[in-house]
Amino acid sequence: MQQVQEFLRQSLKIRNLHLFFPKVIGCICAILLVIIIIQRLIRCIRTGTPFINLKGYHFFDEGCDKLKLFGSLALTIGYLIALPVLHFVNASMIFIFLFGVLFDYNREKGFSFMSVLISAIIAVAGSWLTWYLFFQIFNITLP
Amino acid sequence: MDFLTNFGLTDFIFNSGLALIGVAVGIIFGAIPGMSATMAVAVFLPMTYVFKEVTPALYLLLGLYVGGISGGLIPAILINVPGTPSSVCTGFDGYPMARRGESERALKIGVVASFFGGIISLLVLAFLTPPLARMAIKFSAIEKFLIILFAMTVIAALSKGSMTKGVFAGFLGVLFSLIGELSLNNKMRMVPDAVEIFNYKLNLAQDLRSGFQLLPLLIGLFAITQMFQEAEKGMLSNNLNEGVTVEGARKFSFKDFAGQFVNVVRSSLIGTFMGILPGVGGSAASLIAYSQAKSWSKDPDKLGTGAPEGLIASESSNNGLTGGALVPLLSLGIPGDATTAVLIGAFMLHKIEVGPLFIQKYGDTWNQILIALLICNVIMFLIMFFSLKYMSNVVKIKSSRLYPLIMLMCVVGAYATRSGIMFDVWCLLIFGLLGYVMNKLGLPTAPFLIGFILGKDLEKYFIEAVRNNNYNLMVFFERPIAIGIWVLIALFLGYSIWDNFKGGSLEKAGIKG
Repeated sequence: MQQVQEFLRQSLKIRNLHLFFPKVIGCICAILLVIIIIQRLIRCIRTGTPFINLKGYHFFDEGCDKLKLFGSLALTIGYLIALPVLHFVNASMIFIFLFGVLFDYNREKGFSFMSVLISAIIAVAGSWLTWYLFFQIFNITLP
Repeated sequence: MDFLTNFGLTDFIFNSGLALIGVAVGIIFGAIPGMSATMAVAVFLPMTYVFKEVTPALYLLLGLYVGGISGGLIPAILINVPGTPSSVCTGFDGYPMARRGESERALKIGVVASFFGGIISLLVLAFLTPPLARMAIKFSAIEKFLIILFAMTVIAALSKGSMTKGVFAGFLGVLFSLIGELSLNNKMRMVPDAVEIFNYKLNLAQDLRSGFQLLPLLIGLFAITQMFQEAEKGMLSNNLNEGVTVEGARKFSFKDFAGQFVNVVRSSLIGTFMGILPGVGGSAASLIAYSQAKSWSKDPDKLGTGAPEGLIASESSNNGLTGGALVPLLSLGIPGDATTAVLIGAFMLHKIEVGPLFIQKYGDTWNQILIALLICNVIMFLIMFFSLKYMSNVVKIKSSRLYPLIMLMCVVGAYATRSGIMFDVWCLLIFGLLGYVMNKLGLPTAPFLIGFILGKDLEKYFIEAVRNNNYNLMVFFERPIAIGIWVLIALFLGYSIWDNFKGGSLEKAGIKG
């Protein structure tokens, strides 16, 4: 017990203090990860299934709409890059419109004029209203 | 006008107006499958920057919370798709009733049961929180550390049926909370000095000095993750089943509640208790209350075929969550669920520390929370009961039209966190992707968020307890309250191991956190 006490005394000295807890939590996470792996291993042995079975494995849901998923990811990255360059209103009008068009796109029917028009109205009105409300009235900093 | 001001009537009217907006918007979020009360509160939290005091913010956010939880019953009954996880059992009996042409009756039974659930949980909140807080004031760093450890154990025991994954997600949240500078020695940890990407130098040491900010993290985790998940599903619109009518053969009558008193009280208390336990999802409350209603029912075979009994159990239990989840938050500083974890953000914005001293120091705010919850429940009842025909149209709103606007609000909220740091906006994407991957790997995000919120306190109290007691670890086992908490930890661990052996009853039942 005295050894533990001495170990803690050294570890919790003011110059080392910041490293002690992250190490402890990191170790707990690592142990838990090992337990999760062992649990899976036991389950696989019991059911006679392979531990790693890449055959038939799908990270994405069946029938995943990859266009909308990766499109929304690309648009998010694009929007965040554009914000400091084009500023809030301009970047938002462009990207909120693109988000609207992407999300409302129908694979069978394609683009409809009404859908694109509604996306444009939402993008312009939404961006201006948000800017006016937050920046002009409430004095909140916007990108 | 002076008369109104003196009696605080203008404030009251203004705050009630905010509660009305909150409830109405919350119902829309709850009624659209794929959106949730947590998401509503997370997206609207940045708007509360504009209020100088915390009270109006709480009226708005509690309105969103109550509305969000209640709105889930509309699609559950009309299209058999629960709007929120907490309405998972509502459709079991609500949808068959709607198919019989009794949708109006089913919706009104659900609304009345929700109202009762909300009021009973409010009473529990009002009477249980003060004594719990009074007890917690006496806690030293040792008990505070153990209480947080207990919260982490409960997360493990009851989250999503997988004990190890739940506790791993919780500790991962703790690890993320430790990133940045430790105020005790002003030294950085787990942050690289400078990173260069495409000739662009990232100064992470500066951006992460105070660690990841709660607001971008939770908006990313609950709004952006949800957006990616819905995008993956193709942003499908919800078509209201044409065969279902809002006005049907058998009309609603309060006689439907005859003989249901015990069911309402039992289910509301189950919901409240599940809300008190940290990290337990609303779906668990709904399912346990439903299974209890079935076990105690005189005619259990009728449940699942359109019996009001099952609908009442599900709806009174999920609204019971609202008050229950606030009990540990306001007495111990530990959020009861993901939505109350988001509410912490509102208190932080106004530099109010929730915990044992909250009621003593901010008595007025505490009273306002109780009044706000009461008003929000009354508004929810009035809106949903008297405008069912119109509210049922909410299910027709296309989520593809709302998500672009949600994205806009997320950016505004994240950027305003520290008044203009672009890194916080990038955190939306970082945590949005992290939440998406965690969901794919079956790791629950609610324990991660709770671990993140409690992580710094866990470290602080551990260091304080050990240093003040001559580095002796035995201090954690010496005080009577500490021993009591250890017993509770052992009981919950024992339960979770037993439940895991049994095959995860909650998981079997299809519960999601």
